[in-house]
Amino acid sequence: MPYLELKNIEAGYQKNKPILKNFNLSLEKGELVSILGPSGCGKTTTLRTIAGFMAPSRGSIIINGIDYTNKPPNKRNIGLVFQSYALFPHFTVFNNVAFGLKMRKTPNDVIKKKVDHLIDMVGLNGLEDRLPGQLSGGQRQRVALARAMVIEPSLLLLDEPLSNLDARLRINMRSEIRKLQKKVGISMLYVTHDQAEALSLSDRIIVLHSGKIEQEGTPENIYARPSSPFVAKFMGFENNFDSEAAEIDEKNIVIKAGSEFVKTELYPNIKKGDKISAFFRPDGVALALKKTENSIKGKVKTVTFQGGNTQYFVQTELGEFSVVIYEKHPSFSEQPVYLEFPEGSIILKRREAE
Amino acid sequence: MKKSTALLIFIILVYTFLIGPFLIIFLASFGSEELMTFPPKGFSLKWFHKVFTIVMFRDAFWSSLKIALGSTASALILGAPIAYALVRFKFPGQNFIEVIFSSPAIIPGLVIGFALLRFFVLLTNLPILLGLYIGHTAILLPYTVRVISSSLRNFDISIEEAAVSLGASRLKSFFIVILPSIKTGVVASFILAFITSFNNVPVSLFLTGPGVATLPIQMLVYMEYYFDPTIAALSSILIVFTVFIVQSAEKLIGISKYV
Amino acid sequence: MIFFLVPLFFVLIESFYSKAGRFTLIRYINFFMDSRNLFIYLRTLKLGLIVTIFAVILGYPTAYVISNAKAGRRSLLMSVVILPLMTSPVARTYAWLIILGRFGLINQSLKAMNLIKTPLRLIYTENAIIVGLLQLFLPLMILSLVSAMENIPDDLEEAARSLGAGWLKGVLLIIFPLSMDGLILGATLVFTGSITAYVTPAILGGTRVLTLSTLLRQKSLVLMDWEGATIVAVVMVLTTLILYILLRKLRPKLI
Repeated sequence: MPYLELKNIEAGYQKNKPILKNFNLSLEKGELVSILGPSGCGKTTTLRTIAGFMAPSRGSIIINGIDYTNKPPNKRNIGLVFQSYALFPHFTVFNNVAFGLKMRKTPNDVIKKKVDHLIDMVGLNGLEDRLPGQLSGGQRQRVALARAMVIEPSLLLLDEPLSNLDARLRINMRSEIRKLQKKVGISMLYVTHDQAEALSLSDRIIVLHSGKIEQEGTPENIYARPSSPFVAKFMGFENNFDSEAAEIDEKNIVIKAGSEFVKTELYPNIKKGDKISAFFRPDGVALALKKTENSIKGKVKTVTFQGGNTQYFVQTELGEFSVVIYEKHPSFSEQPVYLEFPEGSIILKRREAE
Repeated sequence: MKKSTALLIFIILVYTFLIGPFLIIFLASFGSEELMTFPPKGFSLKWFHKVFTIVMFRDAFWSSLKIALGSTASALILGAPIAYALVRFKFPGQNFIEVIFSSPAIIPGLVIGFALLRFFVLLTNLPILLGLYIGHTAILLPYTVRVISSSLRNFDISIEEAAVSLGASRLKSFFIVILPSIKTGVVASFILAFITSFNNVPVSLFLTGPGVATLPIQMLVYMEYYFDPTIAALSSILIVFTVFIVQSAEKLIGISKYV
Repeated sequence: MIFFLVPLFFVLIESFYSKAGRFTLIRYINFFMDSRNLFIYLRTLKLGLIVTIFAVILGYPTAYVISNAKAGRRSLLMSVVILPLMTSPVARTYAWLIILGRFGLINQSLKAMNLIKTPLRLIYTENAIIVGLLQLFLPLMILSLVSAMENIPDDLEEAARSLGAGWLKGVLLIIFPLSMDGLILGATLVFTGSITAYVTPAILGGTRVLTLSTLLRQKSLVLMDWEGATIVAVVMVLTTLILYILLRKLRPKLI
């Protein structure tokens, strides 16, 4: 039996327009699961339902075999890290972290020990007496983490915790959160709209789209094999074209690319003659001046040097594609080129007959 | 659940306290007896009729209206530049002026009325209507300055600078760029100032004189001599108007933000 | 500005300078040495204090409910709250005369229930003034509290809940300290408003229960004691100013 289980949850702000419908989710003990999706997909609703701030109109929430569905939020012992951090501005760092323990009437000496331990763990030593207003964004984030973790919650929920930090700090905090989670062995549900964040710290990712789970799996799996156009776009398969399966042998599938043909890996559910959509990443392809084996003809329209890489827009008979090549200097100008597809760079999705 | 029921009962009691008296005055104005009693005995519309036949009320109504419109207009015209200066510039004494304008209660209206009477009206033999008009403008200024300056604070200064950089003069940019975007603030301060002036007693108390009085003052005078439901009827009419104005102003511009 | 401040300035000057042009405090000393004046002064402060305390007690839960209400209901609640502020003060106070008067609602109901034989004297008492002032100034307290509470992000209360605080603890530990600014601002408005209000004490207190403002009118317009009235006016202004400054000092400075 999974550690956390949401069964057939229906929840939303308006009664007749639920955001989540027949929603199921499970999480194992010690697992870090990310819910990934654009704003409005229902990820915050999921979190608030688990935390107890929204009552589901249907379904149940089970943690460790106990039904939590009707428990008030203050009796759930679920840690919550807010996007805004929601630190109490009139309490010092120490008192912010100690808040949950005080609510539990923990003896003062135990509070002192536990809070000091957590503050040490998130690296805020020496800042105990500061007010949140005197801290930097990254430090506030750490206070929020410590405050939620000191109560030894049965589950830690994080709502876009890094979205208010600058890019460099965000990347540092990612690995810190992951390290902390591994060290304590706490179960975490992490909500984000940033795919890089989800990929880098999760055991498992759940991609959510308008209240429904689009795909669920390990980061590697989701990154390499998105199962729907939505997930594909979200995982950076920015280019796509409509096609048809022209030929299938034991190893490859040959698809039409306008007047030309390219091949890619086999898909068990795609048969010869099926209408399909093909997706590929800007950085998954290469450019060449001469025709190579698996390529189509095109012409570079614009060249944008971006520091470590160069972005090209290549016009082909299938439309305009974005291509990113990691190089120190742009090696192509506005000239005819060939768009080269390495093995497995194109993913396919069967189009339902319309 | 227990929390919300207890709070609900509490809120109902508070609101009853706040507006219950208005309902009672409404009911009382339909009584038929000469002496005001509650609950009223009988039913009659004669007190409403009487309100309109009393000349002192009619004259006072027109004076009140004139004074309220005039003083509101001048408080807006004087208040806008003051608000603008307070928000945009730094100058000595700014703090003092801000304190004076930050709350109408800092300098009591009663004292303003008294001071104007003693050291202005009595010394200069000013016409009564003009004195009232000046006194009312003085007490309305804090309202207009406060509301307009808070609207101006929410206005992005760079938009004004953009207008000036494109060739508009400061004055022109005030009218074509700033004014349209603080429109609701101006309307709100107009409504607040008008109501304040129309209802004012403390200033008018000192500045009314033979032949010219405002409606609230005449109501007080009438109350000293009669205790029949005429005042209840007049009050009901005023209350209905107030409710109407407040409700529509709340719907249109959210007047409660500006009070 | 000139019309507004110059006469006030003259009032101040007159009260502090003797006829011979020397600075003197003798008029103020005389004012407060007169036990009747002192009594009225202290009564005015007492009434203001009581009204403020009741405004906090009644206003706090009301503001809490309003600030948590959904947009539509909130707008309705707010527009009703400001009604007493917008209504003609004479009409508003007259309503209390109907309720508290000799043949008013309370006396008639008590008589009907056979609890009293002769009507109680409810108007022309300090209590009547308190009730009238409270109805007028409670809205100011509610408005300042609502705007303070609205500046507190919702997720602070949720954070407290998720850490194990019940709603009462959440209010006491989070909302109350963070809305202190609004509370003090509201208290300033209610207190200064109460001690300078005129219509309510004039109608509900009459000449029997005088306050500073009705005393000012009596001295000036009835007794024509202009000098005495000037002192009352200055005492009133200085008291409000001092209160205003003191309470402003109390306002917490949050970073």
